Amino acid sequence: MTGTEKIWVIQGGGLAAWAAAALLARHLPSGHSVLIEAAAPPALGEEPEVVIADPDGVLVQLSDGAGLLAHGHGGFFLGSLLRNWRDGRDIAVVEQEPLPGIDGVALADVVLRVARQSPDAPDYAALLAPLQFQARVMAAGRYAHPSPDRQSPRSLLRPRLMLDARVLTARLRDIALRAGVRETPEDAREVRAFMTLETRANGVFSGDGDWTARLGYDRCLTVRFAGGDHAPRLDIANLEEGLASRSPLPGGGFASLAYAADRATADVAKTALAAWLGGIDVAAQSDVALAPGLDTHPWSGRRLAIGPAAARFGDALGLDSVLLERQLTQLVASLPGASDQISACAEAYNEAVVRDMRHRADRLHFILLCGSQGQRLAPAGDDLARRIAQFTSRNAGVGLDGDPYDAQHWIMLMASLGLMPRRYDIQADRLDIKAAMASLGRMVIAFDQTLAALPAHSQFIDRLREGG
Amino acid sequence: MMIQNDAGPIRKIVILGGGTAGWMTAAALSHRLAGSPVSIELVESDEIGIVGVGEATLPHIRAFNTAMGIDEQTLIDQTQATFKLGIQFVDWGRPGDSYIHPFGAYGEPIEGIDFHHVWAARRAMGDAADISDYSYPVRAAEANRFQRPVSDPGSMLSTFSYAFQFDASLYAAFLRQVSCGRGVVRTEGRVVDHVLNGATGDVDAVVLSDGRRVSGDLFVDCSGFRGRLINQALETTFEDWSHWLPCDSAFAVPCRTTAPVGPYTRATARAAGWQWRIPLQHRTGNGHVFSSAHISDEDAVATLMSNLEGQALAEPRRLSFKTGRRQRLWSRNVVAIGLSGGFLEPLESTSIYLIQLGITTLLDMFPDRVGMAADAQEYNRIMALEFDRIRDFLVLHYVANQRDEPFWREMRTMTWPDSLSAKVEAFKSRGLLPDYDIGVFLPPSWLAVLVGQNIVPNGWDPRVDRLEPHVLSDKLGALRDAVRSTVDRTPDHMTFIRDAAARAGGLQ
Repeated sequence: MTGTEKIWVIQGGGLAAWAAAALLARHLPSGHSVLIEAAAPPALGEEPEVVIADPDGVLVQLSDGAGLLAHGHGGFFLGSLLRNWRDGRDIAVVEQEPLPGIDGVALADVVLRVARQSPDAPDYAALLAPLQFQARVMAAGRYAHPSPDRQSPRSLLRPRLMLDARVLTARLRDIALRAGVRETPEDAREVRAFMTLETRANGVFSGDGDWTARLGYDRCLTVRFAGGDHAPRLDIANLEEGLASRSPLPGGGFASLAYAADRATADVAKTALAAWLGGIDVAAQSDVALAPGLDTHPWSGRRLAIGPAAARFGDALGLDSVLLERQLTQLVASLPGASDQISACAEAYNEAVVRDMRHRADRLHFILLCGSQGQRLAPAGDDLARRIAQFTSRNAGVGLDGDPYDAQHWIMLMASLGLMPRRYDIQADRLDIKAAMASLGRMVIAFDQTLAALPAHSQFIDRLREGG
Repeated sequence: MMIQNDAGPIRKIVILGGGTAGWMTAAALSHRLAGSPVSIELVESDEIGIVGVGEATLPHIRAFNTAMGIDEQTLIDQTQATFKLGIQFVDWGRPGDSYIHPFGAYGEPIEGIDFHHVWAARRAMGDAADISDYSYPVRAAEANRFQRPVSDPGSMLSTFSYAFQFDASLYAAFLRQVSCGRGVVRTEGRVVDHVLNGATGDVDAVVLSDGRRVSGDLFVDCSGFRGRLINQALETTFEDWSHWLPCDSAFAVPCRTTAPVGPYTRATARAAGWQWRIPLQHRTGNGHVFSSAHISDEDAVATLMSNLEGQALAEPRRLSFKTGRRQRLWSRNVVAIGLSGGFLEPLESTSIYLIQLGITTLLDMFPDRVGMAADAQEYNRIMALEFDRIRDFLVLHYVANQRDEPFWREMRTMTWPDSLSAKVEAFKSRGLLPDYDIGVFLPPSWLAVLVGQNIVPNGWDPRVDRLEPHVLSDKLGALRDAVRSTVDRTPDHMTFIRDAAARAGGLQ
């Protein structure tokens, strides 16, 4: 270390800390060094136990995360299944490639017109459901890689990886240390830092960043279990006691129940989660505070909060690990090389990351508002209210800067959760409705046939492990 | 059987005004609503002249024309159009400066790092290459050459887009012909009054000077600066931006084309404003936009006339305007499109773009009579965002100057919009460019104008410093060579136009 060296200090010893360390070690030029405070790893449930990662994203690139699948440390992720969410229906939450329209009319508008065509036609959501190919693959527990052939239904798939966070963290730690990151047992606060990255949760988020009232929980019970099936999805349920989530990995997985301490005790939460999971073997469990929310200025001066220090929502929808990946991606894009760049980098980072986190958290809020406990929650914020208004008015999404979800995703989600638009695009009236229905029918048949030919996800993973 | 979308559908649309905005609206609505029971009536008066804003366009116009079913060659023939690869700014930073804001990117990312970071780092190390050396559309425009882009992402010819320079009055006439052929009813008459619904406050009808009433469910106000409905009937507040963009007048005049017809529009800074030059096939459009507080009309005209490239073909025509926008471009059942909704000087050819955006947004959320307020609210949000971001982009051209005239000194020292100050500081310190999804000007445009106005980053993405200098040097050299050799193989602009017309059977 030289006197002019710029030292990046990372506080924390979990996934966020080691991922940031490996990331910085890869991208920083000479003259910068990374020092990580040798903190104990987080307790069960304090950071995501299962990571949902983009196959082309920073976490996989840093760690060769795809290789973890072949070693039995993960699987694929196609989406989340909200169990028994509305009128006894399971609701799929997936991010597939957009479906093509018919004769220039968005598919959702065609479907809505068909739904209004005849009183005998199924309702809007029921008509849309068979067109959500990725949702059907996910619900069936099957899997195949996306196809580059645009004519194939498999080209609609947009899978992610679902990885064991502890294994991933260990790998990132090795990579970081090999790349020159120094681990210190000393208190890193004594070091004159160029930048300090804080990764550990700091209790309740303040002001507009406190989402406790919107999401309705402030503690989280997490269990590690053995056995169970290995589907390419998260299962989520809105129990009376809280929000339950199950994340499978090969040979086991993790489950959690996010609950409100003033409405349920830890024992009640344990009983509820165990009942929901059924007869599985619990290997470990932990109950921790989880006040959901986000830091609305995660980068302030020379301090940058990432991971649980920047945002924490729990395991539902894999949100926490997805947010971490977004933070890391933006950190690379906003990396400062000198002190006089920090202010501009912080502003760019905060704008991009905070709006992304808000969009994603809005989606979770919306899903919970439409669940059986929705009446207990604070109402939608401005952006979410705008989305709801535009969908219910005209079956459309809303263009917002930095929205990670496309319009079709929001439309499918809102329709699935029971919202009904007042009207559709007037262009849909121009279509020959019989021809349009025939087109939809052919699409569904193609999806049926493709789905039937896909292997089970667990089979696919087994083949991967065998080198197939 | 036609299935009704919902209760209270729109049955009758009335468009006020037959300029570029009016006929673009009529053409788009008549195409999109063909076969529906919606009727469209356009009211215009031959007594009222049209402003004929914007002869220069942005690449988005192509998607609009395609969506209307308009063949590109037909459009070129009908409007005496030329192609456009960007806008040249002369003397804007300081006298003698010149740069082109191209419709395309500079270079290509290297190891995942945006190109301009690499360029800035190399520049700091003494590499003298201009950033335009890495832009095919800039170098092709300067050489008066043009060809259409290709889709192969490996080709240099996939790195740009193009627009048109056309005669706006011919464009309006062409669209009038198209629209009337699609069933739009044109009514000759001057609107002198309006009828408001006592219960809802909506406009029920407009009254013509001969006493006829034209009623409708939805009114599109394309009546120009006066805003016959949005302003005079509904009194919608106008947000005045003249403190940021003080030019309030223009003289316009066409002249003969003498120089080679370049595929670009030119904006030359003058002592109290700027002058445009837009070369068409049959003439060249010229105009001098100026601040009347800084120069007299006589001097403004003299400046314009003494800087024409060819013989003037008409007397200069004076235009007055106030920069800004309506706080609500959609109020009640009236949507303001074009100058009635707001005005931004045509420095970056945004006039027709804003018309187009107003139309496509209206079509996307085509309302019914029930619950129009929710649609209006969203429409106004989208349009306001677009106006505001274009405003910042225009202001950048003025404030980042090093000229000595009083007008330019005032522009340099004025209070900037906060949203702009942050953008410029971010670029200066670390090469960070605005990052938004909603808006016409994306990072390459900001880069072109920032660098063109002599704002160069002092810092860059530190990842550049990990790259091997000799590897970078080789890559950059190869990029410059690729631009040069591709330009060399590109046909002359006017030759391309004539050949295309000949192939289509237009010119012999």
